[in-house]
Amino acid sequence: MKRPIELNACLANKKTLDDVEIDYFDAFYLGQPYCLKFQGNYIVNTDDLELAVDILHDKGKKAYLVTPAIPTSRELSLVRKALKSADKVGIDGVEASDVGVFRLIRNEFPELRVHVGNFANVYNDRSATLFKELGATRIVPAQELTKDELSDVVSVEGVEFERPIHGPLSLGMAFSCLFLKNEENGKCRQECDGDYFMELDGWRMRSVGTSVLMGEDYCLVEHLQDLLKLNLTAWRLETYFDSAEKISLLGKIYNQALNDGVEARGVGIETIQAAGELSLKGLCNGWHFGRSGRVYVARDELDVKQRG
Amino acid sequence: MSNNGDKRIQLMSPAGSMEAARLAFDSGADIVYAGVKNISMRPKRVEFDQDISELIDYAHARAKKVYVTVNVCPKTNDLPLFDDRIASLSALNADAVIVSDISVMEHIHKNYPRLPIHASIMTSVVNAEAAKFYKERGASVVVVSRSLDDLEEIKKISEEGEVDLEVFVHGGICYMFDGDCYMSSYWRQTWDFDPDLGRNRLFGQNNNKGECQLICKRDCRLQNESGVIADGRLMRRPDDVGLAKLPFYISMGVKVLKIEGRAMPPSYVANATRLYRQAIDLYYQDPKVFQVLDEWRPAIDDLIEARLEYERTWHIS
Repeated sequence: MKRPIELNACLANKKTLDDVEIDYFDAFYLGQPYCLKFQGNYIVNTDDLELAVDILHDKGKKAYLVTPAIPTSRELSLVRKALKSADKVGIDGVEASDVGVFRLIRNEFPELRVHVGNFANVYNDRSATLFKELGATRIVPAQELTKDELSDVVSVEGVEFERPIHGPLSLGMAFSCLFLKNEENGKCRQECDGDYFMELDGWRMRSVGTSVLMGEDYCLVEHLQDLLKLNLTAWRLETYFDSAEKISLLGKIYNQALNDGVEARGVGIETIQAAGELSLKGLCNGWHFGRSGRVYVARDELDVKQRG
Repeated sequence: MSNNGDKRIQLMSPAGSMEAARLAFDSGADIVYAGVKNISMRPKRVEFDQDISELIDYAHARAKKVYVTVNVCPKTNDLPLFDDRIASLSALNADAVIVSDISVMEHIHKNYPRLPIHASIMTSVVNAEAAKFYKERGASVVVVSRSLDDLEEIKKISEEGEVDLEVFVHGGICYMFDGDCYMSSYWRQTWDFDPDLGRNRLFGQNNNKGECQLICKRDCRLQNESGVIADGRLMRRPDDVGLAKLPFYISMGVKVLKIEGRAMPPSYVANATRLYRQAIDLYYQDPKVFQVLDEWRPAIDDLIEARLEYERTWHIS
C-alpha cells in the first residue's frame, strides 16, 4: 500500500547518513540549522551535501537542504554556496525559516522548491496564503499551534504542509553559543553533541549551545490517526542531534505506526512504549492539545474527556 | 533639546501608560511607542485600550509622535479582532504601526497605504535580504534585531537593505532571538476566559503572543550525567547600554534610537530618556569629541538595577 503521507527525518552530517536505515523514510532534510560550526554540517560541507543527494536519489528518496534559521549577512555567502551545490545536484527542496533566505532563493534560484520552516512564524491562514503567493511550495506552520489552529492554517489550498511529529523541537535560537562562551580560547569542542540539560524549578530543557531544545521528545505517535485527517503532506522526525541508530529505530516505529494508522487499527501500546524508551527524558506533546508544551497527553486521556 | 522635526536622529521611549508617555516626552523623547490590548507584546497592565486616542492626541498637540505596536502573531481566529483594531488605529492617525506578522503587514499595506509600517524587532532581521523582504511587504523602517551586536552587520543591513533603521539602544535583551522563542508556552499555558475578547483563549503563551514568562532571566542548572556543570542565570544577557555606540549609529544614518521597557515603571522611562537625550545632544554639540561621560555612570547603574528589580518582582497580568 502506498503511504498517504511523506515521512522524513533530519540528518546534520555525513556521519549519520552513513549508518542510518534509509528505507524507513521517504525523504531527508540535510544540514543543521542552528549552528554552522556543527561538525560536518551539510550546509558548510557542500561536497558531502552533493554526495548525500546522489546517494538518496539513487535509493529513490527525496533530499532537502535545510538552511540556517537566522543567518547574518556575512553567513549568507555560505548559504549561497550551499544553494549552488544543491541546485547543481537537483535537490528536491530547500527549507528557509529566515525570510531573507527565502527571498534570496526566490530571486537567485527561482527553480528551487522552497519550504517555509517553523521559525518563519506562520500562525494563520493568511500568512500561509501569502507565502504560497510568494512562491513557497511547502510550509511548516508554527509548531506551538494546537490541532484546531493547525487545521485552520492547513485549509489553504495549493501548497503543501508539514508537521513535526517526533523529536526534541527547538524552543528558540540563541545569538551566541552557551558552550563556546565558557571556552577560554573560544574553540568549539562540539559539546552540543553531548546530553546537556538545563533544569529550572524541576523542569528541563536540553541545551545545544546555540539553541535550546525541549527536554522531552515531542511525540504524536498515538495520535497519528487524527493527524491523518488533516491536510498534511509530510510528517517530520526532528533528529538533528540523534544518532543514526536512534533515527533508524524511530523510522521503524513510525513506519509501523503509519501503517497501523492507515489501516485504522490504531497504534499499539508496544509502539508507543518503544517511542518512549528511545527518549532520554520522556515524551511531551502538550502544544498540540492547547496545554503546556512539556505535558504529554495520552490517547486514553482524550478518550476519557470525550466520554465525559 | 529635542530634535523633533529636523534630520537629527530621533529618540523613542516606551510608554506603558499615559504617565510614562508624559514623562518620556518631558524628558526629551521625540516619539513614544505603545501597545494596544490583545494585539501587542506586553502584559495587559501596560497596554492601552480606547485611551490610545488620548495618547495620540496628547503627543500630536506637542508635535511628538506615537508608534503603535501590533507585534504579536495572530492565529486565524484572532484576525477579525486585528482587522478592527488596525482600522481604528488608522482612523486615529497613529504615526506608524510596528508589525511582526507578515499577513498583518500585508493587510495594512493593502488597506491603509498611508499608515507607515515598521518591521518589529520580533521579525528578527539580521541580514540585508530580510530587510529587503520586509521593505517589499510595505515596511518603510526595519527594527534591527537587538541580538545583533556586530556593528558591521548592522551597517551591511543599512547599506544593502536600502531601508531606514530603528535600533534598540538601551535595555534588556533576550537569550533567544526575538520572535523565535517558544520557552514560555513550553513551560506553561492554560485555557481560560478572556473578558476583553469575550471568549476562551490560551494564557501564558510564548512571546510571539505577547506573554513572555521571562524564562531566560531565571536561575537554572546546566548538567549532564556527570553532574552540574554550571548554575545561576546562565541564559541572562547583560542589559544593552548603547551610549558608546551613538556615534556609529548616527554616522551610518540610523533614524531612531529606541529604549526598551514598556513594562518598566514610568520613573525608569524618564531616567533612561533623560540620559540618552543628554548623550544625543552632547554628540551634536561636537561629534568629534563625543565620549561617554563618567558622570553618567550612576544613572546607568540605576537603570541596570531597576531592570534587575523588575525581573525579581516580575509577574504577568
